[in-house]
Amino acid sequence: MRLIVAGQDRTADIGAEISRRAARHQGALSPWSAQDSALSLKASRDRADYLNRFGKLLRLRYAVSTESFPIPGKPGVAGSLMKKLKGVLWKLFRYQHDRMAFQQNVINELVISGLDFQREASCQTIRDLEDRIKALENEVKTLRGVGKREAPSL
Amino acid sequence: MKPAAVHQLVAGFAKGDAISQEAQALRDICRESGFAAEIYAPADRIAADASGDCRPLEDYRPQPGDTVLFHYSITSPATALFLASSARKIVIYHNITPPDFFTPFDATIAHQLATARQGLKDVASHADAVWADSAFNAAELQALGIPNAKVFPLLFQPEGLACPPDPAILSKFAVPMKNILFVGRIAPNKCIEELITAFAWFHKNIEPQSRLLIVGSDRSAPTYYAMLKMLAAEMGLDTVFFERFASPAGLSAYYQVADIFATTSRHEGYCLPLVEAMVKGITVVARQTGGTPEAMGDAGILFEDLRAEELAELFGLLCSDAPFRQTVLNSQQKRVETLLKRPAKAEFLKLLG
Repeated sequence: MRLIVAGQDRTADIGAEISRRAARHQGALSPWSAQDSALSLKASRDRADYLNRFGKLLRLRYAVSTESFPIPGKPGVAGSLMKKLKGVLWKLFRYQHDRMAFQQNVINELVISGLDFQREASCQTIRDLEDRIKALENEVKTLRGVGKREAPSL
Repeated sequence: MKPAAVHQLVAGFAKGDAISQEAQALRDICRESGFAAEIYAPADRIAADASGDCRPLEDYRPQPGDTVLFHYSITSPATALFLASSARKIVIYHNITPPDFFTPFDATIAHQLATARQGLKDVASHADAVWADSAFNAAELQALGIPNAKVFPLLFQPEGLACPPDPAILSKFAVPMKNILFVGRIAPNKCIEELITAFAWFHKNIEPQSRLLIVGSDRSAPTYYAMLKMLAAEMGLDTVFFERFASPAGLSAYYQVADIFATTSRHEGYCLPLVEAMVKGITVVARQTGGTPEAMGDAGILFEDLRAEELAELFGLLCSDAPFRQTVLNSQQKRVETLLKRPAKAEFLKLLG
């Protein structure tokens, strides 16, 4: 580590202090493993590889999370009361929220499936066109061969 | 003998873009000094709202005795026109991003950057003079066998920052929170994923009432932008705001609401937003890379090899330790004073000869 503050090397004091404080950060930031994290896209070899990886990551991420989470609170009595009120509201309306989340998840999943179907259809079209081009190239080669044989010698 | 005209060729032109801003500033200096001066770019690379400031390449007609300044940073149709121009030729080298950063995201741009790097020596050897906008860029040229590049630091116009802030943006971020700001192109060399990760630690463990504002065009690499959005979502960061390209009024508003300007970029030729943030009185934290030490001088905070958790703690220290923050701000104030005193016009005209 190297830390330059206002032109002075402060690695030994400020750098050491932030290193000491940084030790308190525990746990993981992402629920995904390294290979399923968005950062795995950086390892793509090229655009095609990127698209394959992106499609895979997208399929893992269609769902809206309906898990409860810690409600952030502001300091003071008003902040504490507001935090409790938000907790109560969440309990009251969760059934509505879960219903909407379910519907959204279904839509997301269908959209992703639609993209997959579209991609598969495009790939099939490209494969068919490649086959036709190959067949036409062979036909041209054959016709050229015939043409050469039939050309009159001078 | 004074040249009749000093025209400029650029690969693209958009308001808010650093090279475009410099081209405008140089054009204004040239006109004030009595030269005819225009900026030319490929027609399809001129932003719609900037067409009054920049003309299409097809309109460029060099005359004997003219000088042409070519801002070189990526391959474009302007290169061929520059090489064929009968005017006195000057290249201003703004650095070329190493193509490897783009390979996973956009092979076309990676190829354009590789081609630009390959063509750099050729372009420079056809020029009558070569300028670089930082000593870092001049050193790159020297390593390529192009000695004697003159350093002409990237021009910056503080007037552009005096624009009244966009009230819609001020209102959007009116709830007081600690705002960390990044301004720049959303491009892989900026390594914004590292900033998002550091912010995640800061937001979760140090200051929950915080936002990360990422301001910049996503057109350079939409696939990289998609990765960043996915990363922020998977970390559950609902206070990361991708604000895309900002108008001068928008930029002014983002600087107004920001507490810290941070960049984890791993490749910079100079990095003008660092200077802008210092002018706006925001504490600046930047990775020491390429031309960033030159932009910062003895001001702000430069780091190397900091883990995301450590960077988060540095943000925390800047937010909680007022004397520390003031020390940084004082150094930046001095730096800004030095930059504002720069006799850019005289410097430019002397180099122009």
